[in-house]
Amino acid sequence: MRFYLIDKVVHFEPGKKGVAIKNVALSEEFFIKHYEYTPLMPESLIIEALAQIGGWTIAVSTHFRYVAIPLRIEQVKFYRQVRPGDQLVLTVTIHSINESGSLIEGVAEVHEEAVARIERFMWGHYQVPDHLREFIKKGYIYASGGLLDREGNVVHQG
Amino acid sequence: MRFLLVDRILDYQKGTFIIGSKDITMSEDFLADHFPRFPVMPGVLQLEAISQLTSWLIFVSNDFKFKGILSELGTIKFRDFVKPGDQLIIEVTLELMDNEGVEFNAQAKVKDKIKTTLTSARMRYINVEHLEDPVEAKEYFYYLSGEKPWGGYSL
Repeated sequence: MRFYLIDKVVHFEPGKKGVAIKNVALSEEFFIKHYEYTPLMPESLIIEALAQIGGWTIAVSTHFRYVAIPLRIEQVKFYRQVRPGDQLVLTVTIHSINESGSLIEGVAEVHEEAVARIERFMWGHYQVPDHLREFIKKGYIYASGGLLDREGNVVHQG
Repeated sequence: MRFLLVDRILDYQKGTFIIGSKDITMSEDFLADHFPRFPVMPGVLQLEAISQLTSWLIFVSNDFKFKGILSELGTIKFRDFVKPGDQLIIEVTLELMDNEGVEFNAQAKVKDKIKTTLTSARMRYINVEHLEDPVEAKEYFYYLSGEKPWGGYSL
């Protein structure tokens, strides 16, 4: 499998919030052994999906001047199992952000019912060298399914 | 990638129609090369998803004895791109069902927008014992349609 755990970004408020979608397909490779008779999405990958949208939300909010590395996750709860055919809606909310790091909260939902919640997710920031900013921006456009407008801003598809 | 292109069977009526869903996700291997900067689901894989769903309908309509193999395709129209994050809803309607095989039409939608249509295609029967373990295939069908949890594990 490829390690892209968000499919598209559907809503984005700079510095505040990011919402992404992750479709869970039966063709994904982790379902081969997880589990043989009952395919269920590994909980660790739900955290990874929230981490991916969280990291991108921070990077976009700082105009790709910083990328974020997860430092600490506190208070994670899983409410129910995720099966193939479910559509995960991943919402991250930024509680505080400054130059050295940020604190976010993440919720994963299926049909508006929470399946997993991270109360506190702390990130460290790394400054991006100027010549690499465009490269990271291209990576975000690919991962979020967004488009560029004339001013070079990313426009998200609903 | 795994070649399972139907995630769920939402509704069906034996010998008449079947509706199923397929989620397209960014982690699928074919999106790495199709295309490097523009991920879209290949049209032939949509066709494969349609044929897998039709095969399930043949399977349930014939007392779990046969599955289907494509033998003829009429017109396939790919009207729009199917992208990661989309949930493809596939509807297959049987036009004819006899001792040889079935004739069917199908359409695939994303949020009520038609993306792909297939008209006057044919599938012929193949004995399921030549393909796989019939008991396991039956369990798998019930798992997909949500009638029975697979392996006895209740969610």
